[in-house]
Amino acid sequence: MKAYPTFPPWSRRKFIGVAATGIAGIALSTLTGGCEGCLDQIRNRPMRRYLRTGDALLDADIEIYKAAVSAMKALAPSNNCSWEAQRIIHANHCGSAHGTWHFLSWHRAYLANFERICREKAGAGAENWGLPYWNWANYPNFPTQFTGDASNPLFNPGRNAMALPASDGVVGPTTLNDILNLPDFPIFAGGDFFSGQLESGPHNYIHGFVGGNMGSVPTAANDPVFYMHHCMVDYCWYDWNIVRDHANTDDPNWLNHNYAGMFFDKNCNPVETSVIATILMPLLSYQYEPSPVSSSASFEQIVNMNQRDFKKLQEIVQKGAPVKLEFKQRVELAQQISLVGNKALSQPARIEQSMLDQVLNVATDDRVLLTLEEIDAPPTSDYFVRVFVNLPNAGTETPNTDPHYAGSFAFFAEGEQSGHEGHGHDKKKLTYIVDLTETVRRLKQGGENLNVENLSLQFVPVPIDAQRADQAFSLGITRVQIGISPVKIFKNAAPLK
Amino acid sequence: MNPHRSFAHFVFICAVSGLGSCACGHAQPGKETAPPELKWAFELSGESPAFRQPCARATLATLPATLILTVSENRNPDQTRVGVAVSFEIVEENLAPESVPIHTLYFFPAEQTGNFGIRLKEQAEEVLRRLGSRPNAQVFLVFSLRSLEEKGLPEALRLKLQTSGGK
Repeated sequence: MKAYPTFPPWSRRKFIGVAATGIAGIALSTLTGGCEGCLDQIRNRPMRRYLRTGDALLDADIEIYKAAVSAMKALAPSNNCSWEAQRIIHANHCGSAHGTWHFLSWHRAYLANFERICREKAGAGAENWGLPYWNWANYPNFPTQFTGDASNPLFNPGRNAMALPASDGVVGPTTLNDILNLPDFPIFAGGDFFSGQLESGPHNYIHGFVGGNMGSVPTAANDPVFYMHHCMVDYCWYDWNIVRDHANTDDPNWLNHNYAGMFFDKNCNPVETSVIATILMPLLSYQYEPSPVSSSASFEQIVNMNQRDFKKLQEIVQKGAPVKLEFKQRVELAQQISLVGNKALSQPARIEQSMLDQVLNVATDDRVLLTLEEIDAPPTSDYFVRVFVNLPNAGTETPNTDPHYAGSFAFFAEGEQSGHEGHGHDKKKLTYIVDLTETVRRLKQGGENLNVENLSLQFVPVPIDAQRADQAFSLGITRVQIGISPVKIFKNAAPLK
Repeated sequence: MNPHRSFAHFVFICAVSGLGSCACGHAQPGKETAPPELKWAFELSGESPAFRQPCARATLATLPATLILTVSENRNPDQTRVGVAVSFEIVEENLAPESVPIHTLYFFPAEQTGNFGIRLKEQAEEVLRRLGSRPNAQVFLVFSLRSLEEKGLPEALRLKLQTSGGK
């Protein structure tokens, strides 16, 4: 068997440029401490491996899953992290997802939160565990890891005999390839009032094929293989959206939906997940070990999947997030500021007392956002820019653990890599957003004297590669504004463990 | 109106009149006009497991890209695992029927009702290609029950379905 590479040969320079830029837009609410600490998390995000026999890494993942299932089954049903509580989530809430365009996004959110609970409950060694997926298209026999008797935590009584493999005509590579080539999101994934073909075909079929608990909505999630089946469904969405580059619907009724009051985080507390966050999850929160899902996938296509991940993330970042920010209050802090010669810039922030009061007393559900508008991108991406609040002596050596640190942003490389793809010569003005909320709260709680006389922002160019530190860097920002926004759509988009 | 009777009537008239393929929907026999939308209602059961809707060439060429199949009633007391296969069928005298599969949907749970989106644009184009210069060939859009179990389709199984045009 060929060994599939698990991470693309991206240069560190390019990766940081991409990821840092992406997170500048993405980390509105979750990435306190800024984007830099998340780069390694994204690069090493958990791997979801496909079920087969004879693979040591997969075997280890199965052992972790067994430990998690056992631990969750040992919890009282009233515990939000218990196996029973997770089953009830599906029983009570999936009815509004099945048969609609929420089918894929709801289950993606459900799996992601379930996966985090599994990591927590499985204990040491499971920190970077990914949920395995059952690729029934190319491995149509029921996975042996889930058979046996009650001594196996993954066994579930009452299943069908399944002496024969799943029907090739329903879930096999040729049929699945046709489904994955459907160009319309509603027909592939589901519309506002109907099922898509992925749901009504392979998804429904496998539920009936396995039978027992899997054959009924209220009990389906009681079977441990349920999650591997839906992980495959999720992999199909990933393949359709990221690999084959089909577009999800941009209908705001879907995009702007939040799943609230349904899921629990790894600490068993209620957690809200937005549809937009689910779109980004395969690029930020986990990655799929490639396996063929259709008859047309060549080895070369498969090994290039991680590069596609990168390109998709790049596209999303360059295009900008599909969100319209709404500000309750917004004022301009500065105009026409320039960073020249690799030097940090301390910029006084002109602000009236009434606005400062709003910033300092921002409501729990609101965010304080700094918008940096009409930025002339520098000619190279060898630097990223750290943003601090009220730290006039901030410099290159100031760590991002400093309480004044708010976030950072970076730029796509222009030159040998992205230039080939036509992105590097795009001279359009950029806009970045830095979330100041946690920094302001932290400084206020720490007793920092933030007033209209001394409020300032610092922009510190930091070389990505120290050897390039002497290269010229310049950056112009046309307008800096600060505003109060109720935005929370990026909740959970970042890699969460 | 009993859809079974009306469709059977259509097929009968077309067959005896020598007009070849019939128009979909409620076009008058002999007129190959495309319907403005796909609206048919029918039942599938163990006794009557298939519904065949004749389609004219003109209809095939102007079909919407998708259709919505609504299962409004799904009586399945034995919880038999069944699916509904949707396909085009090309029929010509003295030749074996040709099937062009579109999609097979299954039910989760077994008694599931609801709406199902199905894309048929590419398959309709494929049928038109295959028809070529075969003036005597008839085309049907076929909805048929499929059993995933050896026991086959139980008599008590009964589904009420209707279609509507997509975009």
